[in-house]
Amino acid sequence: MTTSTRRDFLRIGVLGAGAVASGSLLTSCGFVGGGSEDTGKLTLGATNEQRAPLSPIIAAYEKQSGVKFEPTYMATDQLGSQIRTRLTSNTAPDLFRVGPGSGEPTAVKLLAPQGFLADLSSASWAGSMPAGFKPLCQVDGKTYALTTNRAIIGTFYNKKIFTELGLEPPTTWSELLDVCDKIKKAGRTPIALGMADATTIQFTAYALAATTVYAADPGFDAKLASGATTFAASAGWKEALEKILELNKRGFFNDKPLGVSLDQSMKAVASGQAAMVNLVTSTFSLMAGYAAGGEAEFGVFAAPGGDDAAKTMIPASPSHLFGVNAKSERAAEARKFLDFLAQPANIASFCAAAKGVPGLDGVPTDKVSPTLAPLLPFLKDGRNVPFANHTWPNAVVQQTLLTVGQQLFSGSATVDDALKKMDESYQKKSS
Amino acid sequence: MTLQLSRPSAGSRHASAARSGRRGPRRGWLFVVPALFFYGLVVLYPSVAGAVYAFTDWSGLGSQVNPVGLANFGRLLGDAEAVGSLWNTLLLAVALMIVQNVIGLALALALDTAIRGRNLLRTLFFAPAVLPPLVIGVLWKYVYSPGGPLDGLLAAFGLEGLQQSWLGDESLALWSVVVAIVWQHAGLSMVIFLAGLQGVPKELYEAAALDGASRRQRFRYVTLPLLAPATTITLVLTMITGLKLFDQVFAMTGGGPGYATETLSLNMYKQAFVLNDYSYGTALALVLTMIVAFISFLQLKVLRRLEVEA
Repeated sequence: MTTSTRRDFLRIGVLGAGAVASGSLLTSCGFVGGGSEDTGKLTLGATNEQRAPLSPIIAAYEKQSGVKFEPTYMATDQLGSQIRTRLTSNTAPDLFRVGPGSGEPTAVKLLAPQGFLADLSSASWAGSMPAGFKPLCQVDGKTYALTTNRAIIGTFYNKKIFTELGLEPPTTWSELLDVCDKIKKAGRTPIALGMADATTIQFTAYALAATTVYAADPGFDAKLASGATTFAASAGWKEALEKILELNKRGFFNDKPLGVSLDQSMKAVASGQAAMVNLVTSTFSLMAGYAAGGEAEFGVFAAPGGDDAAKTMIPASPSHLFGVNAKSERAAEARKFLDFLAQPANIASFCAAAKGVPGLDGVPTDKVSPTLAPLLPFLKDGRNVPFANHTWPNAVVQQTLLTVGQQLFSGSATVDDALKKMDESYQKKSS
Repeated sequence: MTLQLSRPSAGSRHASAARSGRRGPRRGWLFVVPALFFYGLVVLYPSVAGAVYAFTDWSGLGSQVNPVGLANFGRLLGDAEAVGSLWNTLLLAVALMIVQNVIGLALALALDTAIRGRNLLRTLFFAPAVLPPLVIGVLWKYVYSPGGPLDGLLAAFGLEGLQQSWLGDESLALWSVVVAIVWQHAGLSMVIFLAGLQGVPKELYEAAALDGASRRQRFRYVTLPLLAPATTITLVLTMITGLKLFDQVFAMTGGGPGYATETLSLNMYKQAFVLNDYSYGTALALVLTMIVAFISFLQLKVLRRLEVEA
């Protein structure tokens, strides 16, 4: 009896295990036709990071307009997959966070062509969108997202270490090597690098490529899209990746970068074990939280990709974008809220809370963290380019860079291998 | 060694089953149907409905769906990343099955004695098995971090030379993951083996001892054969767990460095939710399902035969 029961149990168990093995994915495919209850409130899908900057603005709008909100906040990747599923089943929120370009699940250039996003071109703020953002937030000349913030990649440094060693922020590649050398000789780690989180390689790669690729050839993306060039044929991309490996070869990164997380690398800079780290501005607030003195303990400079300081460019992309669900019955109400959010005072307060820089031209920058001040002239002078991945046609290229980035450090791929794989990924369809 | 272990004959097993099932299978179904209904509604139906997308080019967005036949499966064969993740998955599953069960059996044998505090020790060894897998992943990521607890422990014993980039070295990362998962699940195997051990009549050991069997012989000819049913259960469950592994790897390495620890489940997730290639992700899910079912059935068949021989 016992044997027979166990056999049955195991057989059913094996079948069950088989189904459950793929359950989460297959199940989510099979349930795309659900319904949603109309609560009479304006629904919003946003990320956890957007809760703090949005909450006071929503409260003020509710008070002013009488409209009630039902916001949902979750992790960015979770929100992305959920929004796609809910758009397909026509149960998406009235307005939600979208991404620039085509490289993420809810990117403007993926959703707008399929009719999921409302055309916001007639909004009063649409004309204030920085020119560099338009290719990432417009389709066929129509605007589909409000860009509240600019995210910038810079090299953040521990001011105390620089002061102790009498160092000035470097403005050229040679100066950077010299500064790193002095820090290393002083027994500290010059640059913290947490490659256990694959995304980390982007910060350094995009920061250097802004100068090595785009300063030399502003039309690189168009040539790449037309097939006139490739990553493998790009001297700028080769130079950017080789410079990262050069820093590693010279021992300017921490030991075992592949075993160190991004969080640990930020803590190393905050504690003074390491002097510098390449970060995106939105992540900087996390690092500031690890230092007793907060943001004031850090400085920032544009990562110098070459030896002509005048040609240094920085990566700056729109962030915290919001779009309106084109099929929502409350699309008009959602647009009114975006108009409210786009008011200069609200954009400024959003950016202050999100530790960013205003994503619309003409918004005062007096509430921007003083730490970020050295980066503002690059925005004013137009010496900035979007994050490289935001101009790529799909998410595969970025994922390839992240993976081969780790392989570059483990020695299982060369720079040429990496660029060739990025070319292969670039050819894949966007979806 | 004159001891002969007799097993109930097939005839007597059937007779016993017939006696206990005299009230008919209908009443049994009454108990099964509610659970089966919800299982079907929540797991089976949506799984089958979702599987259809493996034969399309659906991106997971919008209503544009074109049938592509077996194209996604053909693509899988030429996808070095998918083949690599399949290899990693098989390596992980086999390593887990062996190491986890050897340690689980050793723990069960040690704690099936009259040693003091055995109940506390059983609880302690089993405790990691009830923790969420993501917690285990985050915990071990910290343990393995450079300068972390493991490196600290090695340094305390003067073994700095053994310090490694546990999760950052492509040749080590997969095995570091195995250690973490064995740490989590060895207690589960221990509990299954303990249940089996406690079902072994003590008289058999006494009889074997009287016949002059050594400790090793008692283990080989009494314990192991009678543990065969428990062994079958834990080996099959461990293999299934290994083949489906996701959370711990996701938290510890994200599949890296490079593709060194990428499992089929992780690859499936990346394709569907990061790269927006839903139909291909679903094809991977179907392949994983078939692999789990095939290996488990095969394993079950072999182990059942071994049970009878034992």
